[in-house]
Amino acid sequence: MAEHQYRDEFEKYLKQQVDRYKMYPNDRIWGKLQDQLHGKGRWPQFSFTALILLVGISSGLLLLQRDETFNAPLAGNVGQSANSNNFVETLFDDQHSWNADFVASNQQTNKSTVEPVSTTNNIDNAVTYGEPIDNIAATTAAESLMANDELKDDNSTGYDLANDHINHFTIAQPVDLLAQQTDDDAQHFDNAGVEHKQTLSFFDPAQAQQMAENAPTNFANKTTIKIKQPNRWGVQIYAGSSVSYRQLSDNTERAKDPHSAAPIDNSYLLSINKLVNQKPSIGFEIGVAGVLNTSKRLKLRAGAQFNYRSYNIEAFTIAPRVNAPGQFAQVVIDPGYALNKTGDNMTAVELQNQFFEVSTPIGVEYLIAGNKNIKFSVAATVQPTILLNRDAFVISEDYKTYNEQPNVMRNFNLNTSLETFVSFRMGSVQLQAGPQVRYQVLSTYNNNFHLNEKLIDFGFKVGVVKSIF
Amino acid sequence: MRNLSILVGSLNTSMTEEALIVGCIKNNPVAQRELYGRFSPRMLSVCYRFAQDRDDAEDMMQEGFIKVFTQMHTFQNKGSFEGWVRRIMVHTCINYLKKHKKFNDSVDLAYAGSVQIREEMVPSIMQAKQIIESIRSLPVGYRTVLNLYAIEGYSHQEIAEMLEIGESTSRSQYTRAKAMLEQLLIKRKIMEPQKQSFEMLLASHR
Repeated sequence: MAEHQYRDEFEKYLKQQVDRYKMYPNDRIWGKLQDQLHGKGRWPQFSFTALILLVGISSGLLLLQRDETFNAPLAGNVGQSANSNNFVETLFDDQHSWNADFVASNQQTNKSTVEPVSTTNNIDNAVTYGEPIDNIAATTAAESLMANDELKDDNSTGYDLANDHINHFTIAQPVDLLAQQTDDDAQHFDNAGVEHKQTLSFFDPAQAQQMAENAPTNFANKTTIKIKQPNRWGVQIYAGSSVSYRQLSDNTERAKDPHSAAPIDNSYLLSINKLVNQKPSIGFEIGVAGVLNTSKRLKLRAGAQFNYRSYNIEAFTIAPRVNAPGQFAQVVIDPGYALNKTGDNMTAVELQNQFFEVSTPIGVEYLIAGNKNIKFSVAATVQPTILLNRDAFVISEDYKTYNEQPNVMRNFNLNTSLETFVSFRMGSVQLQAGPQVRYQVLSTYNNNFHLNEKLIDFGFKVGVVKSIF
Repeated sequence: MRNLSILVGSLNTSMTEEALIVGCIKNNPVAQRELYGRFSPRMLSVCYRFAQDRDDAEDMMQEGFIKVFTQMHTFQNKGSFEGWVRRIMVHTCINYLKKHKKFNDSVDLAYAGSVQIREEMVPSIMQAKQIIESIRSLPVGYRTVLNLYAIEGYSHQEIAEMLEIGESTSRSQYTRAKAMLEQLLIKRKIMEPQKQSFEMLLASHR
């Protein structure tokens, strides 16, 4: 730019007049500036952190909670808790239709166990197939009472009641045990469903209701029915190692800006990727996710993940520049590191850019093929990501040096991942292992920077999936 | 910090310009706020002369300050810091006008000769304000060239590159813009019509 040289008095006059004039901007301008420079306050970060915590806590609870228990007072709330007459039947139908691996992994616990007092001698007298559970409960309560009373008076009624059942009115015996106790009636126990339904059938509901009404008021509070549902939920814990590559490109919008603080380096002729010399480096990820079986082949995933990514850059040291005293204090400005060696006194160094990220992967998993023990699946996720550090080296506007510019780093980003894996069943857990690729959708830098940087990771991931309920 | 270190402590308790620069390079919000407060009134005035209205001017200034803060490390102490900031603002204004097709909205640079000035747009508030509003009332192409040449001090060659027009076009546009502005200032009684030289005008306002 030419120095201000006033062409004649007219220009001098105009210049003098307009320079006297000041305008005071609205305060909101500074607010917008702050948002752009430092992110939009704490709320997005807070909500993101809260989301991650929520997912983590939920996953932890899922790990701890293996059973889902219906605490259903007999003759009272049982009917409300399971007001569907086909509840039991539906339960068993579901058991047969759920994903085989979950069913297989929980063969012992998946058998829905409506656990009445073991009135095994009445099983043969089943009167209703798929009787409503409230009737069952009422019947169970009635029989328990009756058994108790009769046992107190005369222990010869034939009710095969365990003592603790009698004493505490606690229903805890699983139905499959009932099946074992009634092996002689094998015709009623062809399969689990029939077994349960037969077991849940009792005699006259009207009599049971009457018996229940005569029951002590605290009876209901002491009686629980445990119903275990087929497992739909699981928790996945995983870790992986990866190598990170980056792809640079000019910010096309930014490139239209004719303003440039300094001339572009002569070596920048074709592509920025040819100007830089970079090598991938090892990174890793670790995370936890909840898994929901939506069908035999399709699962949904959501969780929290920590990423560490890095890559190395070849650069050269430059002597510090000292501003001349006078206009400024003597400030030594470290010019950073040069992209190319332009002098004999420049020493090669290897810079490392590291990125620490937290993300919330959300995605789907699809079973391609497999059997009970070995399966092959693909999965894809989108990963809203927050960058935790901002001290990466970035290429200067003139494409000559690397400098740390924290203010150009993008706070929030979006990654996508695609993975394939083989899963092996080992007892009640599945081990998963397979390759994955992760791609960073948005540039590492914000929109005001002259370059775009996209990271691509290639890695191998292993995980463990545990069925929960 | 690795990038910057103070060798000689000439920094006063109040933030000097160099301290502000150092702070802004460190992305210090306090330094950024101070620098913004110090320069924004003048920079908004600069942007206002290029803009269609105040909202546009504020958008331009906001965009300009983003560039100032993000490119602070490239300031090499060649010339004044305010000049550097101002240059960024001017370029931002030009880009803004191009990006939002402001040149197309009004009058193309090459065909603005017959445009009449709307005198009613010029408020009679104060001398400087009147002059600025007079400049702003010019067609966008005219006022851009006039702003760049007469006030910001760019050469016609530089203006031609910035606006992607011919150098001769820049010269002719400036000649017309200047004549149009003179005419307007005379009508607004800011300038005496019989005065061919601006020396007397300048002296009268000193």
